[in-house]
Amino acid sequence: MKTKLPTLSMSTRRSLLQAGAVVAGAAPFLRIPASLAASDPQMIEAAKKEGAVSLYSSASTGPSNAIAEAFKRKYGVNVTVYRAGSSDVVTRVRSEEGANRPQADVLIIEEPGLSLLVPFLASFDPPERAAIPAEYKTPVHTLIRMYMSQIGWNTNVVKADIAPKDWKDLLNPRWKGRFGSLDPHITATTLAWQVMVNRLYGPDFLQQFGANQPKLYASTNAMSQAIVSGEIDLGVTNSFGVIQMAETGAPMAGITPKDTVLFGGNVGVFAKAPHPNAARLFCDFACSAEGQTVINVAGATIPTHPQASAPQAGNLAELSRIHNFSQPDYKQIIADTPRLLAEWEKYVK
Amino acid sequence: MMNADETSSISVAGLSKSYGPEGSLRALDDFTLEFPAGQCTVLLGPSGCGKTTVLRSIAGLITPDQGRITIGPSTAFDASAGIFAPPEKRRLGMVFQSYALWPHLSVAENIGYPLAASGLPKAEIRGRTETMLEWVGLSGMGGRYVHELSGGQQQRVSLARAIVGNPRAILFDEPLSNLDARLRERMRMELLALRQRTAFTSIYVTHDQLEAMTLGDRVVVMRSGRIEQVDTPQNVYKRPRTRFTADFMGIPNLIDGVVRTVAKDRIAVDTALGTLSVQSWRSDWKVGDHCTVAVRPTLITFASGEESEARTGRVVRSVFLGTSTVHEIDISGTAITLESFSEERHDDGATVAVKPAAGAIFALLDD
Amino acid sequence: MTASSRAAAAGPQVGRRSLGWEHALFSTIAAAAVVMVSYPVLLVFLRSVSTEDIGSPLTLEWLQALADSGRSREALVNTAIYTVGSSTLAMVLGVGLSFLSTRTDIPGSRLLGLMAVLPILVPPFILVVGWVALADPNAGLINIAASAVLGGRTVAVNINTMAGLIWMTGLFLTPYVYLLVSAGFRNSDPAMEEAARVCGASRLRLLMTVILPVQRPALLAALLLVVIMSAGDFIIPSTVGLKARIYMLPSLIWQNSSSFPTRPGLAAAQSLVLVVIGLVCIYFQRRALGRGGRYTLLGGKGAGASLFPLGPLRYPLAAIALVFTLCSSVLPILSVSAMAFMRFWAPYAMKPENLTLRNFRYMLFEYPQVWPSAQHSLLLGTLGATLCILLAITLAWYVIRMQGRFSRLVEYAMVIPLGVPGIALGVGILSLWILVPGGIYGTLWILLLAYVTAHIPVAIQFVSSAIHRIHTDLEDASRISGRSLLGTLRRINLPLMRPALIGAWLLIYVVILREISLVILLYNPNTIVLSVGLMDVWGSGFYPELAVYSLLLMVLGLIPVMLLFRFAKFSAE
Repeated sequence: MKTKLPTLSMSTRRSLLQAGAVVAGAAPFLRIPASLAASDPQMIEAAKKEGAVSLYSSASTGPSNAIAEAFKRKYGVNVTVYRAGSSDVVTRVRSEEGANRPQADVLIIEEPGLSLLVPFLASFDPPERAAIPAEYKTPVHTLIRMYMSQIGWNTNVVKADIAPKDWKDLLNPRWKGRFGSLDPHITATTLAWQVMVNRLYGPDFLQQFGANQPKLYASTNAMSQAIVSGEIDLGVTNSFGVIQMAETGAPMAGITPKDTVLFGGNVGVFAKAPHPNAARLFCDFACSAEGQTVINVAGATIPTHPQASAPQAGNLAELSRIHNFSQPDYKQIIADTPRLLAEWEKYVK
Repeated sequence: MMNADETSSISVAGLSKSYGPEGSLRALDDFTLEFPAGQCTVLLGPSGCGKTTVLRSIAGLITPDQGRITIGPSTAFDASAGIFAPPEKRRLGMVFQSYALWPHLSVAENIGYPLAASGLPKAEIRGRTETMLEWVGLSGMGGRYVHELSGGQQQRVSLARAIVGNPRAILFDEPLSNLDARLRERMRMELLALRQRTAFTSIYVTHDQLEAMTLGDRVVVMRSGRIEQVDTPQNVYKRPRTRFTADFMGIPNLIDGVVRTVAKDRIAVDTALGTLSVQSWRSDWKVGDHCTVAVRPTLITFASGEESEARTGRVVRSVFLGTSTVHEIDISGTAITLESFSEERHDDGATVAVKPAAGAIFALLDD
Repeated sequence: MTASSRAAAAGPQVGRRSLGWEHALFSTIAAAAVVMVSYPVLLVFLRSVSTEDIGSPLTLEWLQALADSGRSREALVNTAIYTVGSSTLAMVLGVGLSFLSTRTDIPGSRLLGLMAVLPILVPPFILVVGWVALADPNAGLINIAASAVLGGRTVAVNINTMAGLIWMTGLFLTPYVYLLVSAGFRNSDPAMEEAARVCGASRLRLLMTVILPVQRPALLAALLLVVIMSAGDFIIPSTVGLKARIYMLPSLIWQNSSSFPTRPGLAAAQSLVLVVIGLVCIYFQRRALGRGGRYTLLGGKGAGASLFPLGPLRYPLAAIALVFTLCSSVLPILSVSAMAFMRFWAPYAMKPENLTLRNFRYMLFEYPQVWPSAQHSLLLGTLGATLCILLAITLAWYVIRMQGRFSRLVEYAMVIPLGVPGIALGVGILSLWILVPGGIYGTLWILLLAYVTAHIPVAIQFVSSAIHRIHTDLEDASRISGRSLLGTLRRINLPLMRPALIGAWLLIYVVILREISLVILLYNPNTIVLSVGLMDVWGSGFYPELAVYSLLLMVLGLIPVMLLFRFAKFSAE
């Protein structure tokens, strides 16, 4: 299916950064159930006393800052955001824990970084996640945002008749040197895509993919940028990158092939959080319909809370009727990473 | 201007200083000397003789390896006692060869600097600086910057700065050698006038014997970190002790001889110039000893061939210098320089007769 | 007398000039500084032979992996080509521009001098983004224009090549060469040149045999700086280099130390390669200079050296210089400025309906990291540059004037950070401080420490040459006039060194503001700085936002320059 351009004028990422006020004002419009985040008043009190919470997030700056801002408005607790690629987040947490000087309170991250950090997370069952389906929850973390691997392109250059429909279309010589990919050395999520295409098309795929000379980009948004500016015609990107770029009015569109990888941002609380109560309160907020609406609207991703609303990215139930979402075994991916990277280096360089 | 009561004697004892790896280069070797209050002592010698090392050690700009320096009542340096007074505590004035004026300060600020350093009130600094400016003939130029002054003016500013703070002594480090000949001459006279006006202790380092003669109450000739001779300017000029001093004082004629007779205060020496009457600092000469006599070119004259003490020689060349003419003469293998003030001319290669000037007494060197 | 000299011989050996507390103070600071610059290298080395963190069992697997990895070898070759290419370009441009602006009758020489240093104020991101916008084979304005003129799909220039990377880095490094070389040209003693002219040397011969050789110390210093800066450059290899799949050591180090799976040992081993390259370069530079001839001693006369008449080349050369200026600052700034006003960036999108102020509103007023990071950067830039200069004065004084017991050790040690790329230095500093309980990890202090450590060599270079230019008599005269050592430093040396100090301060301030690789491992959410925030926007934002952020960084860098320019005008006689 093609990603639709947004229809709600209020729903741009930017205007939602001032989330608290805007969301409150736009509540009827966005169908946000008001004040669902009924947390334990005692915890709120303790969190306010701690006064601050430190969020380590691998989500983009937009959604990370949006939820931080919304939380601050709601509870008056200051949020400092450390935002970086998931590998950086993992490295930092590990080195801080290794030196026994934890600084992080809450985590928002996707796989495979999540699996690497699970040992550092605390068991916590936030009240607000009661409504979230069980498949999105573990004792230590909760899935709050989802997005998919996509092919995105510049609609000025790639007209409907030649637009790719599936991953295999990337091997068309027409796109030789004119398409982009994320670099798995930098964005670890690309490993999951690599595993999927391997499974779907066999090892030849990556070899031909490499032979077609993709340009490599460090982030989804950098690639969206390159597609829109005309550096490349299309690229292997993520759903939110296509949606957000299109929101700016840029000529961008994308397609989610039938088989694709579903990525998800999870929230969790660190066991050694310096601000344990504020951390739990934030985690609770991030799980709530209100929090999920904010982060998913700002990030153009799909919420997991049934009452949360972020229409740009579509509805998971509808999407899963059309698509086969690959559910990679991230433990396996972590174990296989050196091999996967070596394979990548061999074919793609 | 200069408060003579403040002026102090300086005493230096056993000063040594080496440079280089393992102290291989001896700049100063057990140097001991008194610098009497109110006198000007000139340290004279070629470059590398250690004169500047002495001066800079006294100033506190160099830490000697050994020895002791006393300025007035206080010990400025004592290696064995571990005493070292930094330069700013020694209350000295110094005039540098490079003038060492600060380009970012005005003339008045340069002169007033020592006063400002001692924390005097601004009004007093201004007053005393004005007086100094007037005194060195630079009235009205206090607001200028150093690069707007001529070399001579710069050196006067440097002098004023050295004096303004009533130092215990003033150290001169070849102050005139950057000036051209005429200016040097004039500044030398100005310094002399200053010396005559006020009695202050000063140490003057130079390699110019004329400056040493003019300005020194005492001249210390130095060589390789040691004292060669300490004496009045007259004695250093007329009665150099050593070959080195004689040579450095501009005596080209160092003539070998043999002692003929030894009297109480006179010795007769046989030389290529005939028998010369000499004075010696040493008293242990014996008849027949080989020795060297220093003969100033002005103390030899042309003679007519008949005079008994005349010796004949051949003119190698003559150089006309204006007031005098210098002749190089070869007397049976011994080269002699003769300076004559007469109009008498000789062609190169001509045979001439020469003799010692009437009544001249020459210096017999120790070595 | 003999008795006393015997006593003296038995007494303490006092071969130095000052016995006072000042000497003790300076020595202590020098010792601390030596520790400061050496432990990161030791820790990088330790990490490269440790299986895990420092303290884990020793291993050679990383060094082995370094030798085995084709990627490492390829990166090494690429780094070498890149370094040689961009250093050569920067030297040719920098020396050429400084010669043109100081020693020839080129029209607008003063403006040229100003424009030659201007790129130093342009954050490298602007250069990168600007040149991508100009010279991308498909989307670059130059190529679009070329295609329009020549028809078809013409690729006149391609930034995604080694030549493109070298071009950008060369432009980026040129002002450093200019800064180090132009002062020497301006102040060189005309007598030497006149002597050569009298001997019948032609102008070209004069240039090759006298003018350039006399500047050898400055030229070598500039060469060393650009070689090490380009070998350790991080931004261009990890942005355009990555896109063009030209891997270099710094981008690999970055990947290995932060990307999954992290291989800190391999990163350290790769850092070690850069450190060794840097130290070897330093060694050869020192050897080439020999002892004593390290600095051009300037004749104090300040008489203007004669200007070379360029003749018919006057205007063509001025035009070339103008093109350089356009390429290195004006064009990138213009294209980035244009970007900042657009809803999204694409060459075809430059239409009125795509103009917006939203990027400014968003970045300046809504983006939460902007103002804290600006505050931190300003604070760290100001403090860091000031501390660097103060420390450099102390150390240079210790080395040059006090000639303390360890002055040669100090002198050599202080060059070390120059040979250590930012990212490796960050690893070294982090490795120590994360182990110190209650230490400075996670505070602004560790960033300050990193900045000072990284930039002390440049500061010392500036300060040393300034001190060397001050005749010791000027200091001695002040001491004798009754000012203490510190009083003399303040009243005489500082004012005389002021132009050099201001120059060094500005340079360090601006470099601190833009430094990324050094601090990216050391900052935390509470200590975010502008440059890291910028990297983050690069990673997850859009070009128009990046453009606003870059412009902000540039403006903050410009403020002190403007202030000091006004201030400096008062003192410029």
